[in-house]
Amino acid sequence: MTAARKISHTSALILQTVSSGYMYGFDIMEVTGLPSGTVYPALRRLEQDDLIRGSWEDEKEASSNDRPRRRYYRLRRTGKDALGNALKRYPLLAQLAPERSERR
Amino acid sequence: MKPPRAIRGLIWQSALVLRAASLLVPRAMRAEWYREWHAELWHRIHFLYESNRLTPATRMELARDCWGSFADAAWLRFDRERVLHAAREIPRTARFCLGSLTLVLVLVLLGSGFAPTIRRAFASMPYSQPERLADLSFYGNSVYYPMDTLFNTVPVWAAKSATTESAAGYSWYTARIVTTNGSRGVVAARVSPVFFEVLGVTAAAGRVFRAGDEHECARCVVISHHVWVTTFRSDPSIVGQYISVGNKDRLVIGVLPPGFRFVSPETAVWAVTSPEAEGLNNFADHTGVVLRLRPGVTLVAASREYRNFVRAAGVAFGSADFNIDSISSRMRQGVHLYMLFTLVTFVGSLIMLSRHFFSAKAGTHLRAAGVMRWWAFFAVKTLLLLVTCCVGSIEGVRLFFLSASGSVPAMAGAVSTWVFLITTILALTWSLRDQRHRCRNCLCRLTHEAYVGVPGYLFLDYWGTELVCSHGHGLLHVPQMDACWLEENHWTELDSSWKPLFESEEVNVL
Repeated sequence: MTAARKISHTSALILQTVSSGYMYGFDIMEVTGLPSGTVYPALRRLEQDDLIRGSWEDEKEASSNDRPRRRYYRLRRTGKDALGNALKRYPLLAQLAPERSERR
Repeated sequence: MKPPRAIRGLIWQSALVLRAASLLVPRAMRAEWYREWHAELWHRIHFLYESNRLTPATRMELARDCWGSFADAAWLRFDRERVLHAAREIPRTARFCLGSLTLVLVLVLLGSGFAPTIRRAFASMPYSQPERLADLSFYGNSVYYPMDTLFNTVPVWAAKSATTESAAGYSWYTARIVTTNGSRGVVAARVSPVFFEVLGVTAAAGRVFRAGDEHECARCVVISHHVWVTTFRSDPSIVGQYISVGNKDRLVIGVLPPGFRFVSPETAVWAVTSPEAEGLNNFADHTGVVLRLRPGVTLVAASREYRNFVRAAGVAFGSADFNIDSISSRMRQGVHLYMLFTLVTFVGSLIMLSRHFFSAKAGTHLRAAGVMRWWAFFAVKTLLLLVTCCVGSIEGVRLFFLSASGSVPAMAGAVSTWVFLITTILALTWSLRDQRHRCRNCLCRLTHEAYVGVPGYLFLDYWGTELVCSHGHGLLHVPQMDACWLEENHWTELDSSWKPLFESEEVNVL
């Protein structure tokens, strides 16, 4: 039921960005050009709808680098389905968020 | 995890903004929400610093991103769908419309101090036996004559009149009074010494004028209660002191009672001799005579007698004509006319709408309760608008002139009338248009305007706009131009089979 729900172009763009390997809020903002006030509420909404899953970075890794833990977002299966449907509606979406070559 | 000195302040500032925004987040989610935002900003600031990209422009971007946390926090607190839906739908509802209009009316009433002019018009007259008082007022466009003519003639008329017990002349003008707080423009009046005696008014402090004061107390003034309170801070010792009126020192001999009003409630200073600054002439419509009729004498009889007096006076009053009316009628005349016009406009609007209602079959499918609701909404809405226009134009213009010049000039009446007429026409036009574009069932404003047809095919096909009720109750067809071969606004009721089309679909709108 959730996967069949319509998603807006903005949500589809964020899904596509997450799917391309951009996993945290500021990364998504940089790629999409969307402001934080749009990206974060969208991430919460997509997570609430089970389209993406948010998880905290491993504590050991963060503390070994002496920095705070980040929250990463990954696509769920339902999210992939929703993105597939969205790409049919917005075929140029893939070009807006290119695959990530390396991860920071 | 201690950040370098150069970015420590930036991180501290962003943490402060995040802490403030986090107050919006529900308590259970607050800590995690803060951690995520803080980590993101921490990384962002370090990345910019380490890559030497921390410029004023990127700092500004950071600040913008930081403030975005408020939007994120707000949507965690409030249901986004519900808020957006409410923001879209509530302004369309009849309740919102009536609530807004009521609020505007309340603000107008509060702003004007609860419509003092209208209240005074309906309050009891502050005179002794007001039913025996009449007012002879002159009128004539730009006709003026020596002011003394009136004040010299009135005692002669009063002495030989068979219909009036006593009579007193009055004339009003603008003057400036100077106090320790500076000078201010006021309405001042010159009256016959027996003026207050004719009205049956006594002073709240000191005394009012009496016969002989034009010789014995020629430089005396009586001030209004309002001026005593606002300008002289209710100083009881003002009686017996000199104040400057029109650049001349005048002795204050009394303060009028609080409810007293005549000609204009703003009349602040009363004197028995001519104002020096204004010379000896005055416009006919700034003068008049107050008459105390003998018991049982009618206005017609008094009018007949005084017409003969004025005719006998010859050219003394120029080409000015006059009119005698009861004092209560004169004091209320303006407001009564406004009220009457408001009522006529209201009835007219009902007739105009009924033409649309019946000819356009707007309520064909409605039950009696629905029809009643539709009409009641229009009646209340229009009445609120008209009352707002009425109060706003009377009190607004008065306040405007009071704040601009300190007094209410004669032209205020004409300005107020024009403001009233224009605002009433605009309000009525809006009210009728708004009513036509509302759903016949739920009274919500119709939406989703669609332009239908082609102008070139006007003779062959329908050309107009279609609006639909967002709850799916019906469809309104509005022809693009009024013509005898085109239908007027036509309302099509949609049955329940259309319902699924209008059911709110949860769409992830961002």
